[in-house]
This record gives sequence, structure tokens and C-alpha cells, in this order.
Amino acid sequence: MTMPAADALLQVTDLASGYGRAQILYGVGLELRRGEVVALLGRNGAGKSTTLKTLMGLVRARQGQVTLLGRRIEGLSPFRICRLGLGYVPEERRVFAGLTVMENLEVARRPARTGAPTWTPQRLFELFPNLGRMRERRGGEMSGGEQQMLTISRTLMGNPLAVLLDEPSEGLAPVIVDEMARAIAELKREGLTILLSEQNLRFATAIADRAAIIERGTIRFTGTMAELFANTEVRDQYLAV
Amino acid sequence: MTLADLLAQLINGLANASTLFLLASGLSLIFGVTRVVNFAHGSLYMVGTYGAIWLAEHLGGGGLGFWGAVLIAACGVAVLGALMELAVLKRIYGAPELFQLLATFAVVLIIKDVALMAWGPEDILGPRAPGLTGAIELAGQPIPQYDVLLIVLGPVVLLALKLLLERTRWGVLIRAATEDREMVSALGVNQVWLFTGVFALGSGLAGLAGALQMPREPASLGLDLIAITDAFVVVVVGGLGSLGGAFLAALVIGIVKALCFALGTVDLLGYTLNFSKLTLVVEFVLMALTLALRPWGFAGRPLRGLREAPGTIEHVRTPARKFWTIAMAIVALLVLLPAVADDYTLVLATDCAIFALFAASLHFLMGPGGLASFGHAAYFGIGAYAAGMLAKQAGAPMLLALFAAPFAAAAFALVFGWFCVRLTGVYLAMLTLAFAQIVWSVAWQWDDVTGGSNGLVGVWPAPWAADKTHFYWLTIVLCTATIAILWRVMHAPFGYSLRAGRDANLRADAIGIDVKRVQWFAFPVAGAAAGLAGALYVYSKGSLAPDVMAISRSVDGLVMVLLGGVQTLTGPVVGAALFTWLQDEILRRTEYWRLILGLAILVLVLLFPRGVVGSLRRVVRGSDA
Amino acid sequence: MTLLTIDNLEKHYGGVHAVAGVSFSVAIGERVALIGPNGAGKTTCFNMIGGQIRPDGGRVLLAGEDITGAPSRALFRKGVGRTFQIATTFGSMTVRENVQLALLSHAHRALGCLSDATDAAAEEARALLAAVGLESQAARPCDQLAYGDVKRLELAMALANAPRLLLMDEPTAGMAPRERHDLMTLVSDICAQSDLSVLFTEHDMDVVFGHADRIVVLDRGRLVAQGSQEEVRVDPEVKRIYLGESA
Repeated sequence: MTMPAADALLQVTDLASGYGRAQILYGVGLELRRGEVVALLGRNGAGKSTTLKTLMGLVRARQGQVTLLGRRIEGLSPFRICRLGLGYVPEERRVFAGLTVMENLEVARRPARTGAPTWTPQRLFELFPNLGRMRERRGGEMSGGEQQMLTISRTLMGNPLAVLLDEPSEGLAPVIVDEMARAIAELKREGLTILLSEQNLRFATAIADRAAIIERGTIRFTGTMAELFANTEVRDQYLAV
Repeated sequence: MTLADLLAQLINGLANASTLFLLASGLSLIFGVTRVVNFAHGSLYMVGTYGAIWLAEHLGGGGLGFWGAVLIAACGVAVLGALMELAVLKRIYGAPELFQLLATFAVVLIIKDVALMAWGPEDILGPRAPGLTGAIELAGQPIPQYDVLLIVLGPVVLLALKLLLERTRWGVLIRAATEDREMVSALGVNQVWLFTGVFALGSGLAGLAGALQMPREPASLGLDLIAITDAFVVVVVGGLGSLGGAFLAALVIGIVKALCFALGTVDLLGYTLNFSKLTLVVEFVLMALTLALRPWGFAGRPLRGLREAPGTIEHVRTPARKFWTIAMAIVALLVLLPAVADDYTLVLATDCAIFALFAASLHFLMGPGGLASFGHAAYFGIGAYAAGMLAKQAGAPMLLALFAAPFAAAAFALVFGWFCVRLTGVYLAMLTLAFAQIVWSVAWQWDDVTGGSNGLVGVWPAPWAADKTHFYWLTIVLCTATIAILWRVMHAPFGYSLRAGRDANLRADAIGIDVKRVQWFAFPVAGAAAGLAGALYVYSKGSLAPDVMAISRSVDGLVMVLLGGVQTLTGPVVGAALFTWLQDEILRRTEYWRLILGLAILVLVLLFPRGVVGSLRRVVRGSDA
Repeated sequence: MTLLTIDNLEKHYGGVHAVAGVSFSVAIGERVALIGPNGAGKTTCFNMIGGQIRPDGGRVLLAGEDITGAPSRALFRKGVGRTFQIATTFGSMTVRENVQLALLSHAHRALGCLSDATDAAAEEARALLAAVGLESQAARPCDQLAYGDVKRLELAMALANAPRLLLMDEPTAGMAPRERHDLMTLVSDICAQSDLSVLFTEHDMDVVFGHADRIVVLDRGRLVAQGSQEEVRVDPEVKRIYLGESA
């Protein structure tokens, strides 16, 4: 095992988890350095979402370690993990359908945190101008793309150090995907660290610094995007069909 | 009836609707966020009434004393609710729903006896509100000022709750948690405090409702069950989790009841209809109608499937030969019991056997069927009345009455079950409760046929069975045989189909099983067995009153089943015997048997969340996980 | 010969057109995979065929017979077996009892009150369990099985009515790599031995390309492409929406 880099924000070692009798993750290892965007690539069912959920404490880790800024967080409840600076944007968006945009943001509001960008609804509406025009709209009455913007904004209200983004381009129209890519690039400029689970390789390429490929619950490759494209074997085996 | 009478009753009905709404809104809030059906909510209401009256006496007269008492009582009950959440429920949020329910039953028992210790068995009249003892003239009719205050208070509280939920951060968090608890937690909100807070608020509302009733209604130890059933009816009719729906439901129920009072006796086409007699039952008829037409109440939405805690399923086992040997030995011992036991013990053992059958029949629905019946006493009672009426009104011999009673109960179960299986979970439980209450109030009020509240007396066994020992043998034979039949059906294809519908509804459907129909047929089977238990009960006591099918009997049944463990048939049988014996044993030593029993149940629930038999089996089998 | 015909199936949820005029067919003995991105309408489509959701428009024909909107229990009687994405079995029963109940139901004996269910159809149950390789686990409570074995058990139950058509919703989801291959090989073998047709949804492309005779691709409720593996693999639209550019 390699030593963690000095600037490691999130360190994951030998993580295993699953649902009931079905084991999904078999010893996942990952590292997230401060300020970088890492794309977790893999097919549906490869274990991307389960990895993020396990990091967030929503699925119990059966084995392995998760370290956030030197502090062990596996086994903590989700709200503690969130308060320690990890934000989670779920794949199904899960906006509160009966709550307005402003109320959705209010649920997640946390005090400012040193070392992380501080967000207010105002700043988020600059990032996603569409949202600013529908502050009193209820979550259930928004389109998929609008909900995706809301669910990202909501997580940012907790002023996280790092965000786990689960397939933000999923099921969105291409034009919205472009807007999402622009917004995530903007977040990166703000200094936010991001772990991005994605199937859309083009989307991932546009914003990620490094990639990790997960297949059947195990990380099969880690490297820069350039390394990924240079490695035809890996591309053919795990990303291609 | 004059228009003035109608107006007076209407005002009274509206005032009742206000307290009903306060009570129900608390229950609705708590259920919405925690998904706990809190049976002790009515007990909190009762404590509110007692507490306010007691405080008002000690704080002295005057407006300050009265209103101070109301406020302190409400706050005290809020604290009590929060303590209950912290001490009991917080530990069992992960447990199956029915165990949470059992824990809240235990709290009901404990609070009832603590109230008995503190305030005695007599009803206590509360003071009137100083400054509001007069009346306002409206259309020539005096309207009590206090009623007017209550009528105003209902909408004010609704508005205040709406504002709290819509305009404050806490309210936003609560609404979010009602939708998606897990997501709220992932966004950094500590659910633990949210839940405790909601419990405190909901309990406080129950306490306030109870305290405000102090000038209108004497404090009594029966208030808890009355309040909880009323609150359930309002919440279910309004739609679980909807405050507006609950308000509307409270109004409708208040007004309809008032109308029944106002109409009184009406001659219609030569028949005399006494509407005021309907007041006991009208809210349950309303609930049954609402649920049959709108399965989720006025404003409710379908509940997302309430999760079944993993690992709660106990496997069906074909018992080993050893089990049969032991069972036979126990039956043989029971048959030989009269050789060593006195009459007192025999009567107790007869009771134990009857209630073992009753609990086994309830278990048939709850265990393999997964259908929580909160009104199972209905079938016990119908069996009892069928036997009693056949004997008294038709002069039928005992054996005929015992034979006919199960059929009567099964017939009713067939009708009730048809409606019930259309619903699931809490709604189904509430509909079974509604049917039981309807049957109970018919028995209570139909003097000519059922003997009304006096019931029927002098239903004695045939001469050959009149001896305590003979009747005990008859009971043992019939109960054992019926339990054996239930066991047979549970292990026959029908029982497996029933279990299949509970375990995996979609899967059962996909292999061609009509789950609703199977569940429907389970009702008459269970009903017949409960009916036989009821018939035996009448003959063992020699009389019967509507009490045989009161809510408390249904609750007893649930406690017996859950106490023994819902996973096996042995569980309820042991639970029933244990419950009946414990009740008798404690009752002989102290009048506070409920307190002891409640504490015992709490300890059992917290230590053995699978029921006594289930947990013992696990201990015995060791690594059965 | 066509066994299953899906004709212009429609489903709306509120304002969302979840399935918009999808038509395709499955021939006797054919294995067809239904694929597409999440939210493409696969599951909705599948559940409309399987009787869990009633379509707003269109028809489903089984060997020429209109079965549109027929509940799952009726399809079972017409020779349709079904497995679910999250395998569901009767957790309180043993492996053998699960299969016995399916067999009892097939024989219209599932409501019997007197016979002992555990004695029923023992030989058929043994044969079915042997077919899916669960014979040695017959007496185990089925909630103690490994997930892959639960999937096998579900398959055994779906085969209890000697079906003409097997509907499998993500048959390999949640399974370990090795188990996926084994399960689908088993299904393919059964198909080869009888004239069983299979319609399945799947996300694992190894499974799809290893076990489907034909592939139907959905996106946003519409049928985008259908054809043999080779045809679908090179279809530019399918690459764009689902398989990806790097293919």
C-alpha cells in the first residue's frame, strides 16, 4: 500500500459493504487530495453509488477504513460525517418534494467552515441562475435538471470540504449536462474537492483531474485522465464494450 | 327538536371538535416524523386533565390559577412525552412496528396505575374557568363562553402549527424529515433531537387538550382509551400526517355527533329512530365509510411501505418429534390438573385456556397473515353474544350454542375482512378497530336483544358440564382441538400461501397466488376460533356484558400475542396463559397490577424484542442469526 | 414463430411520458435483452408486460392472446414466469417449501387447508431444485442463502409452471461476478433444452452480449434500436446514449 499523500483529504482503504445478503464492494481503495476532482467511473451496478453511500455512512461499512483529514469516519452516523465536512449529492436527487427551493436549502444550512468555500443562497443563485428565478417553487414541481441543480446547491449549503456527487449527468438533456459541467468546473475553481461518480465518460473527462475505475466492487485502475486515455487495455476492458 | 336545540348542540360539538383536533394533531405530528403509532397518546391526554385539575387546586382560584394550571399541565405532559421517547422509544426505533406498539401499550398501563395511585379511582370534577362561566346570547340561546373560547382556539392552534411548520427552521426540518429521514441525516441534521422535539410538541398538544377539557369533563381513569381511539379516528379519517385533514375530520365528527344528539328520537315512516344512541358509534361508522371510499382518509397519501426490520422473520419449522411428545405431555398434565387443583385454580386455568385460544386466533391473522387486527375482541364478543342470545332468547342447549357461535363470528369476519384486506398497515388496523367499536356499541345500545349495558345473565352450562372440573375439561378439549386445527391450517398450503403474501407480496402474485383473497379467507378462520373462545367464556362466567368486546379486550389480545412472540403459535398460547395468570396473581397482591405488568412488558420489550418465546428459542438455539 | 408481441405500449406519469409507443416482439425460444440508460422506461415497460403496472395504451399479446393489463397471478396461469430485480423469496420458509408452494399454486392447490404443505410435490420440487443446482440446500431457510442462490431459487419458482416465457428484471443485479455468469449460463441451458423464451433487462454488458440473441434499446420511453448484437454494438445512436463513445 502506498503512503497517503501529504495533501490527502479523504483516504479510503479496503472498504467492503453491501445490502442484506448482497455484497457490493470488495475492498475499495481511493484517495482524494485537496482541491481535485476525481471521477469514479464504471458501469451500472459496478459499485459507484454504493461506494459514495458507504463513505457517507448511509450504508454500513463491513470492513476497511475511511479517513477524513486524519480522522476515522467509518461507522459514524451520516449527520456527523456531514458535519465533519463531507457533502453528499444522491443519484436520485431526493429533493424534498413538498418544500420550496429556499426551504430545501434551509434544511442543509450549516455554519461556515475554515478551509472550505462558504455558500449562501445568493451565491448559489449566481452559480445556477435558473434556481434564483424559482425560489418559492416546490421541489416536486421542478424538472429533472432543476432538481439536479437544487440537490447540488442544497449540499453546498453545508459548506463542505469535499462533495460526493453521484451521477449528476444522469438522465439529463445534453444542454443541461453542459450547464452542470460548467457549474462543477466553477466549484472546482472555488477550491472544492469532488468525488464524482459517472458513467458518461465525456462528461467526466471535461471536469476530472484523475479517474478511478470500479468494476464489480473493486477499483481496477487509478490515474490521471491522460494516463487513462493512454492505457488502451484498461479502456477496452472496463469502459468500452 | 327546535332550531335552538340544534344550535346548542352544534356549539357543543364544535367545542369538542377543537379539543379533538388538538389531541389528534399531536398524534399526527408524532406519527408523521417518527412513524411510531403512539398508543400512550391518550394517556398523556388523561394526565393533562388530571394534572390540570390538581394544579388548579394547588395554585388557588382565580384566572391565574386556572390558566397557570392549564399551561403547566401542558408543559409537564410535553416533558413526560419527551422522557418517554428518550427512555423507551429511542431504543427501539429499529424494532418492528408491532413492538414499538407493545412498548406504548406498556406505557398506557403504567400511566393508568400511576394516575390511580396519585388521584384515586373516583372521577374528579375540575373547576370552571374564572371569568368564562357565563354565557353569550345567540339566537335566543345561551352559549357557554368557555365553549366559544375553545371553538376559537381550534383554528388558532391549527394556524400556529401551520406557521411553526411553514415559517420556522425547525418546522422545515420536520417537514423534510417526514419526507425523507435518511436524506435529512445526510445533510447534517441530528435526527435524535428532532424526534425528541417532535415527541415533546405532540405530547404537549395532548396535554393541552386534556387540560382544556377540565371544566367540561370530569377526570377519570377511562379517559386514556377513549381519547386514543377518538384521536386515531380523527387522524385516520383526516389522513395520516395531514393537519388540515385532521382539523376537517375533527369538525365533521364533532358536528355529526352534535346532530345525532340534536335529532334525538325521530319517528320516521312508523319506525322510531333514536339518533342520540348513535353517538357512541357514529365516528366509527364515519371512519369505516371513509376508509372504504378513500383508503387514505380525506387528505392523506399512500404511505411509503413501512419497512419490516430485517431479521424479524422466524422460520416455519416442522416441529421435531420431541415437540409433539412435550405437547402431548403438557395436554395430559392439563387434563389431570383437577386431581390436584382447587376450584379457584381450575377457574383460572379455564380462563387461561380460553384466552390462549383467543390469542392463537389473533395470531393466525397477525403472524402468518401479517394483518394487525386491533379489533379482534369483536369476534370474541360476537361468539359470546351469539351463544348467550341463543341460550337466553331461544333456549338453545349449550352444545348447540357452542357450535353455532363460531359460525356467527366467522360470518361477521367474512364481511369485515372483505373491507379490511383492501387496506394495509395502520389503516387496516384502524378499520378492524372501527368494526369492533361498531359491534360493541350495537351490543351496548340494543337493549331489547342484547340486554344493552346490563348484558345477559344466567347463561349457565348444561347440567353435565356445570361442575367446575367438567367445564374445565370441556374447555381444554375444545381449545386444544381448535388450536390444533389452526396449527393444521397454518402448516397446510393455505397457511403457506398466507405467509407468502406477507413475506413477499409481489412474488406470491407472480406464482399465481391471489394474496387479497387468501388474506380475506383468513378472517373467518380466525374469527371462528375467537368466537368459540367467546362462547366458552360466557358459559364459564354465566353472564356477559358489552365489556367482553371492549377495546381493552382487543388490546389484551395484542399484548398476549406480542408478549409471547408473533413468530410461532406457541408464543401467543404461552403469552395468553402468562398474561392471564400474571394478571390474576398480581391482582391478588396489589391493586396496581397494570403498573407491574406494564413495567414487565417494557423490560421484556427492551430486553427481548422478539417476544418471550421467540427470544428463548433464539437463546436455546444459539447462533440462529 | 412469435410468442410475445408488444404493440405500441404507452404509459404517462403525471406529465412524464415514461413509455411512448414501444413495439417489439420475442420469438419462441429467443432470448431478448431490454437495455437503456436509467429512466429510459425499461422497468416501466417490463412491469407493464409482467402485470405489475397497467398500460395507458397499446397491447401485449402472448401467442396471439391479449394479456394487456392482466395481473401477474393470471400470467402465471398462462405460462409466464417472473423474477425480480431485487430477488424476493418467502423468507420464512425453507428453499424446498418455496418451490413446493409455487408447484402447489400451479396445481391449483394453494388454498388447501388439510394436507401438509411440506409433503406436497416433493419429487417435482427436488427436480426443479436440481435443475438450478440448489438440491443440497433444499432444507435451508431461504433467508440464509447467499444472494446468488436466492436468485437461483427465484428462478426455480419461476419455472414451476413450466413456463413458455420467462421475464427477468435485471437477473444478475447485486450478484458476485462469478455468480452472474453461472446464472445466465443456467438460463441459456434451460432455453436450449426447451422452447422457453426469455425477456430480460440488464446493465451488465458482458451478460447482455453473452446471453442475448437479440437486443432492444430504449431511451426516454422510446425504442431507439433493436437487432442482433453486432447491429446494436455499432449503432451510433446506441453508442451515444448508452454504450459510450469510447466503444
